[in-house]
Amino acid sequence: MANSSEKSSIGMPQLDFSNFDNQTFWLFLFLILVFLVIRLLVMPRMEETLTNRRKIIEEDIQEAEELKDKALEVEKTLNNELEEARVKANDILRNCKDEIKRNTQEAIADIDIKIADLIKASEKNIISLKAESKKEVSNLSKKLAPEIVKLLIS
Amino acid sequence: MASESGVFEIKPMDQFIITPLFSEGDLQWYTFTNQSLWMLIALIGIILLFVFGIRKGDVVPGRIQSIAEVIYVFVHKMVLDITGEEGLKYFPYIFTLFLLILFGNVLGLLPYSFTFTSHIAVTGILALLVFISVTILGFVKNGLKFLGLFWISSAPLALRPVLLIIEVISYFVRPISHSIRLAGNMMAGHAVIKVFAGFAGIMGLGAVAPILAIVAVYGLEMLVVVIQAYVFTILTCVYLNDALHPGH
Repeated sequence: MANSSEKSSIGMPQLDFSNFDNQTFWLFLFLILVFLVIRLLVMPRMEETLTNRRKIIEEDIQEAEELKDKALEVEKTLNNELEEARVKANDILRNCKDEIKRNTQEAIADIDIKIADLIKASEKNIISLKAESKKEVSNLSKKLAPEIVKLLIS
Repeated sequence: MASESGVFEIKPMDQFIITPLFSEGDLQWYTFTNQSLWMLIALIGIILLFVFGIRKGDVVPGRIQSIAEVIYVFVHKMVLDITGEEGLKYFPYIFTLFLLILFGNVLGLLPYSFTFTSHIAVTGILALLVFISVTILGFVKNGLKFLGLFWISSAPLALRPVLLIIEVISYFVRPISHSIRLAGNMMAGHAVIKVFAGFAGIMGLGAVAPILAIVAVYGLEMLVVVIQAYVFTILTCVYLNDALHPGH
């Protein structure tokens, strides 16, 4: 910095044209070096990284969409199966009801027949009992009649 | 620039002086200077961030890789948006420009550093390279139709000769405005910081106001260095787009 005070009298160092050749040389050198670094080292790696990332993201999105489609399909089949099951359950319920009704009617008819049989049998019984009791009454009155007469005479 | 006493001197422009680092005497064209040193540091910074930072190439980027990717994608998108698919061929050079200027600007904010983008020789060459290559490209791609850039067919016929003059002048002013904008911004900010620093040096321990001013200007400069790198790059894209599609 010893000679800087002497140099500072120039005013604007930017307008010191004597070192333009030096500045030009170094600028071109470093411009070319930076360009080579970017062209040969930075861009291939950067493009590779960015392309790779884009690919991964696209693949992930595609996979997600496929999974979504699959989920929708599964939901659809699930709904279909539910519907089928509901129909089947209704069928079974109706069948059961019908069967129960039929069974009940059969049982009722059965019981009616049995009841009718029983009534017939009891009527027969009653008739025969009536006949028997008439016979017995006449028998008894035949036995009792002479004795009543005897009593009346004596 | 110097105060009357001669002891407390504020020399805000001294920081821009180019000095040889490993040799004495006059500068030769090959002399390694403080400017070359900071270009080398910029190159090393670019290599550290963009070569070692993304070496792993993780799908989920870490901190350093994120920074590198954000910058890369930002410039890539800028080139794509402004110049279209055709312009992507020139992306490597535009990215080179952006990184060299960005690193030059940001590194220049370090105390005791040297801002090579504050030199009109540097920015002038960068701007001239853009200007010359874009002009050649325009003629190669479009032939004489490239001159249609100056003949505004959408304007009334009477106005076209006037517009022609304006357009031609503005076209040739491009490299000047392109380079002086960057160099001027860099120089002015650093000079202002240096002036306030000089005040602080004179005032000694009581220098609260100059130091606060330095902090404020420094904050502003952080913004300016990035914006100027962005502006230089986006203008390059705009000029390139003019060369590729001169029709509109």
